[in-house]
Amino acid sequence: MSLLTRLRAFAGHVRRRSAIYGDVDQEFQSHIAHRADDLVRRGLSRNAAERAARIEFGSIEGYKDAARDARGLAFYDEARSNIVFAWRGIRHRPLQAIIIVVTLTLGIGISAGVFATLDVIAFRARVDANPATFARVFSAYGTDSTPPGFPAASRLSDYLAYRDRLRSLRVIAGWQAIATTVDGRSGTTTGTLVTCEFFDVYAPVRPLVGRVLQANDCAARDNVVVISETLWRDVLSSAPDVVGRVLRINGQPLRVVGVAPVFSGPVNDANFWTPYTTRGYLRLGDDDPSSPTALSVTLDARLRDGYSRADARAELAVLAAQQDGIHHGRHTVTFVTDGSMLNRPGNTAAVLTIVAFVFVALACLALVACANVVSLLLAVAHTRHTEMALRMALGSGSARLARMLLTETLALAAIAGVLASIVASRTPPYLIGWLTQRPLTYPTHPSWHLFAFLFSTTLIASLVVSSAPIRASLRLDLVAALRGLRKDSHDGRGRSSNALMGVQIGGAVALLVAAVSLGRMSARIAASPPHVESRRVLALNIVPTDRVGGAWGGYHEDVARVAAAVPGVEMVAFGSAAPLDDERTGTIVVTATGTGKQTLPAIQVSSSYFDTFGIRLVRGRLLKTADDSCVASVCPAVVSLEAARELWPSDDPLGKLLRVVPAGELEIVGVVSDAPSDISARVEALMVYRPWTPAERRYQTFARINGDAATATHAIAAAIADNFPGAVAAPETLQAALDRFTDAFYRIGLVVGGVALVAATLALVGVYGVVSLSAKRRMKEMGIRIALGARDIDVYKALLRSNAPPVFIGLGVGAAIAVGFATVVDRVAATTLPIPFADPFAFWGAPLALAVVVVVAIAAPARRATGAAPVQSLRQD
Amino acid sequence: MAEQRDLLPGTLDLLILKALSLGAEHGYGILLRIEQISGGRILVQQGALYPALYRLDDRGLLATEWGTSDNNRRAKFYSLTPEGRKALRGERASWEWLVAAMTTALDATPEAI
Repeated sequence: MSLLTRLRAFAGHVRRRSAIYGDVDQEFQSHIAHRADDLVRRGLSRNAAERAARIEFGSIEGYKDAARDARGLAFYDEARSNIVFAWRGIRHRPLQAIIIVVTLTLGIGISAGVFATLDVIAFRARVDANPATFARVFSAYGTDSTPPGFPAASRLSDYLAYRDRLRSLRVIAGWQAIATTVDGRSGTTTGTLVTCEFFDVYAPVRPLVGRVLQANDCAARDNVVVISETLWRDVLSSAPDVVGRVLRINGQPLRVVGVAPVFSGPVNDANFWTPYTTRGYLRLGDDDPSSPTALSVTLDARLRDGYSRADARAELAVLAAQQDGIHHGRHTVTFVTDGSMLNRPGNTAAVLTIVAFVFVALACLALVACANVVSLLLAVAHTRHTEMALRMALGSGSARLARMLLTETLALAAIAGVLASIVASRTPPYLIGWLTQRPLTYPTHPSWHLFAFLFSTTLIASLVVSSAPIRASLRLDLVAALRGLRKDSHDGRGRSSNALMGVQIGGAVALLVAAVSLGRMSARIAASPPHVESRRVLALNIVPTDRVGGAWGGYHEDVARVAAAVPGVEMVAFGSAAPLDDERTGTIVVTATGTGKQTLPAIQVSSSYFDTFGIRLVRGRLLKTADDSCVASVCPAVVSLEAARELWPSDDPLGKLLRVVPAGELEIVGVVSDAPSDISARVEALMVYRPWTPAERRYQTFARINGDAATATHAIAAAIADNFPGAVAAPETLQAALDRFTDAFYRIGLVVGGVALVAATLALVGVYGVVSLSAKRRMKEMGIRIALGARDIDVYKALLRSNAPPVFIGLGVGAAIAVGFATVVDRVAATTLPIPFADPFAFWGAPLALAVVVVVAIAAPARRATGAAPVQSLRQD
Repeated sequence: MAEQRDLLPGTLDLLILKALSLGAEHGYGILLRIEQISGGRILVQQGALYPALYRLDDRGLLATEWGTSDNNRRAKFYSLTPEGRKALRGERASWEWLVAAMTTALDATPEAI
């Protein structure tokens, strides 16, 4: 019989169960009557025959149960009575039920909300439809003498070759984010240069007005643009006749062909999409695919039916090799991923590390929530001993009672699960928007991952929290329980309560330490500023029109001249990155005499860089203008104090040679002060400063100012706009960039702080509950003690003494976990965090604060115990 | 009276199917028929018959109908459905195979090994 038929039969039985039970009853009576007729025929009296027939039949109720079992109705009846039992329990103890639901909702909801946020950010491609067919391609280019670089965007010429020959991909598109001016908007606007298959990959994008880009737009090199709903509203006042109107981007007119709705795209805050063929027209660079400065595009694609990403990878490897044949000496390695941040080449370990840390924090919260609920359920279990004993005496087995109690917990957990799913599905947009301080421009619908997570978490939580209370409910002395006697430990609680109290306190402390550490990070950074003029130096952040490599010398001269002429600017410098700008700082692999290969952070700088930033000369000399564009086999370099200590711990660094891998040597001509603050990690201070090559590439421009930063910012932006057509400048102080970075940690700290606060509150409620129950049970004991002359302080001492050990063990263990966690974080993320995560203040401050509050939570029930009536206690005995 | 033995587990279903293959019967009548066709050697515990009947009914092997018995009492009559007849053939074949196999095994002598 098929499962469907069985299910249909079962449903029919459930629907007609009253009729079935009546049927069974009548059938049994008919059977007994027939047997009695037989026995009468054999000579028994009617009464004796009926009695004998009943005895021969056996236990009517037992066979009725067996009949119900046979029809599958026993399961239904038990489930129904379990639900009735659960509902009655909830109605009798509404406050406890509410506390349990709220606790589980917070525990599960916050965990699932953070999980959902991670899911949106890291675990899935940002596409609205069919993520299973989405693929992102990365290329790593190397040469005969250099290994492949970091996997990133692909060359436009390679894209064009792949597009025409790939069979495993149905469609492949390329894109590059750009920052431009848009008439009617201040500052820069983010847009995307795209190949005209872009909207096929990100389909379906149904335009609000007009159309999206089509293949012909690229083929005909039309100067057209699709704009976002935001841009349509801000610049064109949502004009319905927007199609065909002209929008000036970087000063060049582009014809609007459509308005795209909000959709999941690859670029945050993208406000327009224009064909890559407009790159030259928009003065953003060369649009000849064969040019050395041609566009590089990130490739996104859709798999053809029946093909996998592995097929695409294999096919791309062949095509990339063919392209390498055209570009002599080039070696390309291609990667095909599902488009998630997790699977981006080189990202997996870092993302998984962050995810692991987040999960440790969530585990602490879940632990505290579960321990809290277990404490409460254990308390309830103690009050139910008599009821359970009665049920056992009436014939209910332990397994049956366990199922009844489990149903009650499952019902509460199910309510919490539903509420948690509402919390979780609404968390990502708020959390991401708040953390990034940017409006979200892509949807964050929860995926099936979230619901799988919620279901499993709810189920595991309910099983975890119900097992100990069920065992406690059923582990009873039947006779004593029926007589209303209770067996308690000397302090009114069991060992499990102590353990739970310790777990709650430990989890809360660990979270509080993390929250205090992260929350204080920005304050600690502010209290110990970096050793550079971060408030007096502006990074000009110029986005100029592109130039051919080797032609940048004039640009730097012009920028220096224009910026220096702005009132309030004292000095102008250039560099590949600002000090402390980890994102732009490059690395070099060097070998010092007597040491192995080492990778060190390196910046190329102009001679004025050190004075501009206030980086002090400690020994030797600074770089000079004559050192610029060094092509000699040995070039001069300056190292930071920390780098000097690292490379030559006991030698004078001046005159020492650093062999650069793969070629060239650097001679150390000077040692300068460390740029990071005193409390930063040592590795942050490692730096090699090399002379810049102004003609080769574009460098960041920095200006030291002596007046108001806001005034200088406006003046410099205006001067750049006036002197460099098509260029945009968005100057900001180095401090503003650092503040933005530390603000992110502060915000993460607030999130963790919120979670920690919830955990601490739950822990305190749990401790209060356990101590209250313990005090209530010991009221008689306290009454006798008072009758024997104990003072209030003795009662306080007695309750504190019995409750303090688990609390202090929890505080110690939680703090130890936090110290271990901080040590691991500082080891793993030494180069990412601006200062060490470990904050000594948090290690003792957070546990101390919690200890004080816990003592108050213990003292409140103890106060009640001091009111125990001695006479009543003595009379009871 | 012949010696009565307990039923082997799993054989009650086969006996019920066989009893009903001889004609529709109510519960008590099925018991009597089993007793009759087994020469009085198989006696089924009266109440134990019903869970087995309901199981077979649920599997679609039996059809049921309320009627009046020879004693002029209301009774629920069971009869075999086509699926029930097919199941009887299958169960019987399995039983005969098992009996043959068991007989062979039990008749084995040291010389045969």
